[in-house]
Amino acid sequence: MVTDRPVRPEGTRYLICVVLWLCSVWLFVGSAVAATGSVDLSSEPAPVPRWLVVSTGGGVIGASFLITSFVTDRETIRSVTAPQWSVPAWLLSPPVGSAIRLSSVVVLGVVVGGTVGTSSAISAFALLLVWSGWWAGYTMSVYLVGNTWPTLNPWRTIASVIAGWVSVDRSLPNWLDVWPSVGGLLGLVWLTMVTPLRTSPRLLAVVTVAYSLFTVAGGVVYGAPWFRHVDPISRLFRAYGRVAPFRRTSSGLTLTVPGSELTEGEARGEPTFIIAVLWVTTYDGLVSTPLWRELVETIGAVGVPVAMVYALGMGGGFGAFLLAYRTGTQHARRIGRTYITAQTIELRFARSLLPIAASYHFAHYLGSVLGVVALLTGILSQLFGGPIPVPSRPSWFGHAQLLSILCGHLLAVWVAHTTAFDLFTGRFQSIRSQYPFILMMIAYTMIGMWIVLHPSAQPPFVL
Amino acid sequence: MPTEYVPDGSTEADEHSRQSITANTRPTERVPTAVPDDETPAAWCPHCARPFATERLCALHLGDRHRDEWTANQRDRYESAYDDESNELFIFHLKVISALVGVFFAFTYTYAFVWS
Repeated sequence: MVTDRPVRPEGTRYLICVVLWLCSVWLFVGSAVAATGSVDLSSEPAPVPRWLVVSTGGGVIGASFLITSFVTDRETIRSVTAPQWSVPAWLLSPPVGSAIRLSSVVVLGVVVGGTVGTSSAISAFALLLVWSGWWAGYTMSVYLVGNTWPTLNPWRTIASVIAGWVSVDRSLPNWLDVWPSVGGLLGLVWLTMVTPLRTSPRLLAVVTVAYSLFTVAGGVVYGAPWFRHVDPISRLFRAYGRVAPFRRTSSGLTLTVPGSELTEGEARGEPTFIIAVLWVTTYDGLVSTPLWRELVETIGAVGVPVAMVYALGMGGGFGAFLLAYRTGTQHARRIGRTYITAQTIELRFARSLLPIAASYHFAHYLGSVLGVVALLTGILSQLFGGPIPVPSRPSWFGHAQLLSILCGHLLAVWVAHTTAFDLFTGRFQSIRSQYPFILMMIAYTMIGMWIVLHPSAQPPFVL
Repeated sequence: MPTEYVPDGSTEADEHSRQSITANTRPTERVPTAVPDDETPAAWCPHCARPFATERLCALHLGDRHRDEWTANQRDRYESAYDDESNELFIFHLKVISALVGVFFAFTYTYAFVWS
């Protein structure tokens, strides 16, 4: 098999390139470490001003793109994400799956029962289980290990059992497109912001029961496609699961290089949903910044309801993100001088944004997951008669936050590079067509780092 | 896109879409294209009829996708287009190196001023 045109041995030139490349990697890793190493995000004032850390973040992304532009051999680019290994299939044996399904339904029952119960300790535990255990910790497992939600999803189990008794096999209407899942995702996150859903067990019980009825009904009527395309939570986990190394295939489990599934795209509005994921992750951080607090107070003083401000922010930000992405795609098409349709480019580059969304989720919820781990070790140590340790944030907390963001962005840059070389023709067109995407990533890094660097305040609640 | 369901019917296997990046060539694949109204393509691929904005892109495409079916003439066109592109890339990479050096020094000096 011939690969790319064999290049004549131009040893000196390539030696120079390699040396320069290594030097730049060293310099940039050095400056990035210097930047992150001197920033303590917990409470003390940072020795490096915020604007400099933010622009270093942008600089690192830009530089990593410039460095990857030296890798132009398609075989080499393919070989990075090509390896995959099968995993023993006994892990997926039907009894194990059924046991997991049954226990997830039991957990759902415990959560609902705990939140409507009268004991304050049990309802506090249920809240912790939902928000720190599931929304923060479990989501991390989805993008770090693999998407286990199709098996764990208790609503899906209930729906499939009911569907066994009553057969209503309807197919999902096409006109629904991606909008129910996008609307559901934006709506759920908006609900956690404008209501005390994170602190009130009663409200959580009401919302859980309402969501359960709706989801089980949809699952019974439309079957598996409901969970693939409409249910926002299943779709969110499926999107995050694309980043993970483990993947369920028809022949069992496969271990792949993280990000190897991100160079493709799926029809039925996947880019729009990914933009929504990216926006809700950003918005979740944005609402706890002082700037947002001031904004809400200013607008609230005029007499606009706070819930309305949150809803406008949610919708407006999503629209702006979607518009920016679509405009970037048009520019990529023009700069690269390609006739490939804008929809195809949109579809193929969308998943490169997923590692970024995952890394911001990680940075945002690391604190709450560490809190739960500290609490659990405290309870365990108390059971064995030991002292109760005082939970405190480890010294590497701030570094881990910035490092996760950096890793997410670097993976995104590489994924965009691989996608471009897979989709476009030649080497120069593949590099040039990445410019708009890299510019968007630089801008987004700077926004995201600016949010993470702010001391997180309790977002202004409505009730 | 077809969806595969694993035997137990509830855990879905996502359509395994890594084929394109692992396969060496995809001569049969059709990438959807659309030519803007005010433009005329400079060339069409003789094998898959895909339009291109320049002759050179078309020649490069032959080497990317149609190595198993190309003629000697098409191979020559590809090789000369590849060499042209290599020369252009060399200039581009020189610019990239100077940009990297520039960005690095800008940050070094900024950090030096901030920390001093």
